[in-house]
Amino acid sequence: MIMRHLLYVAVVFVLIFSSCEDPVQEIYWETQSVPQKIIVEGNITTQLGKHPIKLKYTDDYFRNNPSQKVSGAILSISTPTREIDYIERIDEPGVYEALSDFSGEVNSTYTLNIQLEKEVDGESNYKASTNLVEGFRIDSVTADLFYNPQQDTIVLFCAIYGEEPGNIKNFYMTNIYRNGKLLSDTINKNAHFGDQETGINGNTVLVLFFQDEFQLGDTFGIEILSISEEYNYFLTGINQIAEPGDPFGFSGPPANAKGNINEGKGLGFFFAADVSRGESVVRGIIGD
Amino acid sequence: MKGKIKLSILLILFYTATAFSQKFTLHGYVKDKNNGEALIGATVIVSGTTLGTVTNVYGFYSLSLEKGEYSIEYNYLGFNKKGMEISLNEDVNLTIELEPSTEKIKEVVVRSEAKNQNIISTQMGVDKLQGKTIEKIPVLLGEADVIKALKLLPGVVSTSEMSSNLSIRGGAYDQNMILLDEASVYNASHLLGLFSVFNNDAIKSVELYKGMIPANYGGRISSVMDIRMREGNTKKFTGVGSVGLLTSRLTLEAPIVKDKGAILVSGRRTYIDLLTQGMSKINSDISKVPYYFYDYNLKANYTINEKHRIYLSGYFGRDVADMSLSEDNLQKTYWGNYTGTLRWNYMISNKLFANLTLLASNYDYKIESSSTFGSTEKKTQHFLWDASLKDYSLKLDFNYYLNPRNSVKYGLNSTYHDFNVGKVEGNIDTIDFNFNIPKYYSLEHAGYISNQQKLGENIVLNYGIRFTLFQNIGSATAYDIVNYEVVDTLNYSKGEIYNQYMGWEPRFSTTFIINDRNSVKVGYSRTIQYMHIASNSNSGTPLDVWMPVTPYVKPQDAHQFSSGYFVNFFNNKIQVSVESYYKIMNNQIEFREFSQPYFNPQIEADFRFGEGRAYGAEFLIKKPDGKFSGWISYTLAKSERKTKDIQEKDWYPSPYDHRHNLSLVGMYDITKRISVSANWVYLSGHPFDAPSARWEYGNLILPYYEGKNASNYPDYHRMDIGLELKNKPNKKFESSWTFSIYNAYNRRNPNMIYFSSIENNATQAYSFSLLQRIYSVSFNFNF
Repeated sequence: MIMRHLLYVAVVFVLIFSSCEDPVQEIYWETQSVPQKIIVEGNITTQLGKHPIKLKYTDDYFRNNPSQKVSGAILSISTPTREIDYIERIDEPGVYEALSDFSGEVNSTYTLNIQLEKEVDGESNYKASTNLVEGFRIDSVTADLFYNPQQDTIVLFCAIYGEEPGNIKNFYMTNIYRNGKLLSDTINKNAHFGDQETGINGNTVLVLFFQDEFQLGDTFGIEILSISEEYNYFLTGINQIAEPGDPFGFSGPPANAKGNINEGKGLGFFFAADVSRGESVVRGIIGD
Repeated sequence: MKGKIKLSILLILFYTATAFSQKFTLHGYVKDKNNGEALIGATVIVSGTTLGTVTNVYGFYSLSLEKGEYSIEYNYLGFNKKGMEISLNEDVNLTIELEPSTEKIKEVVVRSEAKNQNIISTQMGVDKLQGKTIEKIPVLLGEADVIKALKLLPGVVSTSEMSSNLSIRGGAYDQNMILLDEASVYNASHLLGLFSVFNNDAIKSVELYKGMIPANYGGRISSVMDIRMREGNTKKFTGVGSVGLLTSRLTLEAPIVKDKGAILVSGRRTYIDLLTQGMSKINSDISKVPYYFYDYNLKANYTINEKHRIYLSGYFGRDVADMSLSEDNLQKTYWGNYTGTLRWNYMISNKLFANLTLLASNYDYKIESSSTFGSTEKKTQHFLWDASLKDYSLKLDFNYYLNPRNSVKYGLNSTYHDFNVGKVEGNIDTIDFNFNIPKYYSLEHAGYISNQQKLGENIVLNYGIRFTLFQNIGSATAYDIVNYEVVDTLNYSKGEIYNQYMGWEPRFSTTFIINDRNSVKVGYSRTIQYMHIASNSNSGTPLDVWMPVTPYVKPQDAHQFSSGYFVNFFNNKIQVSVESYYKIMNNQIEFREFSQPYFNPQIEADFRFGEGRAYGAEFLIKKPDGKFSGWISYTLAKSERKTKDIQEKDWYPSPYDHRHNLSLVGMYDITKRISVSANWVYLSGHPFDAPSARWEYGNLILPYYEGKNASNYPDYHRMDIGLELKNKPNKKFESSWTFSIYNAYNRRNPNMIYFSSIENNATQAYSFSLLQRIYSVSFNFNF
């Protein structure tokens, strides 16, 4: 923020005496030619479902069209005790789902196996493994609107009661619903955090604040997903690269968010999550 | 064992040297007749021989000769040569005052030398600029700037067009030691680098060592920029100043006691904040530019007697960005340096010159905000983020003029560093909060000895060694880091030395003088660096945080091999040089992906360590004086890195890799009162990470990067034009107008290229080009 302001001052300084053209300009940029890569986006949760998995190709950075889907692949998910076959949806090419509903089980390891029709980036077989870790179990939720005098805003104060496993290192991602509708349309809008860094390890109550505009009488819904440390780190990376680059060195260098598809050779992530859900009707304003 | 061998070699060489020991000494100072300023690097030569010496940074010289009659020649470019007949039957103390060669030269004449000094000197990879040259180069926003002038020389590249930070021979910008009167300057930029902190009116000499760094310097692996402030006029009260569109400056100097001491005070300030504040009252469409900077230089010197002199100098500069909305809502950011130097010159004997110097320097920044809130009851909140680096040093240096063939330098120094990497404190109403990253304290000691030795008529050696010892001291918190994870935290009590590093830094160069117009030079140097900037920025910011080495972060070091061929044409009017270098750098620091450098007490765990190499060839054709003067400089270079867990198999380009760097600089005096200048620069674009492809995940469009620093900015080029019109002078007052056009043909050189997602899943590349064609005018005067 400070650096952006100083940059603004520098711009003003210079523009007063310069040819006064807009310093920002759209430019044509020729990207280097790189082999196409496969992208995997999918997960298994403890909720019953067909747990769809999407396969796409990378594309030219400036192509500006939806990514090409990967069709014709053979997918399965295996655990030490069972194998779950997947099939490509007829109505949505590139999206694969289980033949029948199933739910993931905590403390299990799931391995995604993908066999492609043709090689992508020198490989036709891709794999990814992930553990399903037990997480916070929600008993009840309260949601109250709270006036924040410092910023003159209203925030939603949520107390989520339940049990956090104190004996393991957990990482979480949240999905927030208002009146049954998911609020975040992109993954970088989901909060994600670790139980150690936030000090909630072993707690029976989890307190969260949300700036979204809830109103009295709305139904506040929350899903807490217990995710792996690797996926939490992947989300950190996604959040950083989704924003335009910071030229002032406040963040790390531009990099790829390394996933678990063939140890990062494929892009994206296959993760498993223990999901717990709760909801509450939003109550009146607390505070000044 | 290795150390013993090195010392033995030195002793043998000194022994050889002492065999030439002589009876009488001619010594003294060489000064400017007009203002009493010491002339640095003036040559003192015994006519008809190659025996001679040059004055040191205090204008002192000493020549030991056998009894006899001598014709001595004192020479300094831009000044009338002076010859003296000396009958050397005893030690002679002779201070010489040289007169400027034309009455018109009253600008700061700083550094020059014998006309073929470039041939006979042992120095390689050193750039020197005269103040008058800096003033003649077309300027940006009306300010002559030493750093911007240095960018026009071979092997020197700016880390960004707007920055005052430099990359020297492929090194990082924190690998350059910047000294102002020997005190470290840790951030040389005003306003994101649009201006440097050095007021040209207060500067006496600038030397940039980028190759064979003399043994008396150390602490950084790429270069040393030694800037000396002017001493002040010991003859009479004088002043020099300038009124520009953005800044004005004034320098006043006067004798304390005539011919014995002087004081110089110099100040500079931008005033666009004041102008726009006034204009905004008249026209509400104009908003105040909430920024200014100022700096002051002070220097005083006094000659107690022939043997003793004292100097006191200081710099204080501040940038202030005041974004306050009202008296109840303050938001200010400050940053700046101060330095202080107290030096005692003691001429112990006619051959031995000593300096005892006390130094202090500080760089700090603060971000502060405070406001009131609450509709019924007023409450306050306050926030202060500050960081700093403070140094306190004691130095003892000796120059021993053993005989005309040997000049020895030796000394010791110690520096105490106090690193405040970041501290936040404040309150919201009655609730106080603070977050402090543990401070670092350290001691850095060095001892050195070197000798410049003439062997016969054609070979000059310059050899020396520097020993450095670095100690981390408590109170401190250190981390035991394994596989980039902190596995243990260790606390140390105040004053406890919990870690140390030491190393030998040999320096060697030799000049083979083929004849008075041709010479060949080769050299080697090792340099060690014990501190670095913990920022992922490649160009620098006002919020740069310096950190020392730790038990986990090892010192950086470099080995540089260099060679050069120097030839002069047309009676030394044209100087040509070709220099090559190969530099190996160890323990180079990169950041891991998605690192958070600020307010991260365990930032060390985010470092990734690698090696670097830089090599290149530098060509310089220079016409230093005459009606037309200027130079052509070209560098062909490469700078690469390999870093564990980033890219360890193949070399990748460092962010400071510029394949071609060309500068054409010309200055022409049309008449005695009108001169024009122009320069054109061309620079290959530097490497950076640009997206190679795109991918979708979670409804996001994301960039995919292939390889480290695999793309390049577009090539940079621009032309600047300058015109100086001198008004008709009178005896007491001279003035001139300087007009400049920066980037005359309005090339849109990107300062920043970025990529962004826009609507409908589309992506677009943007360039940010701030420094387009810029006009400036300033009125300069002196009296």
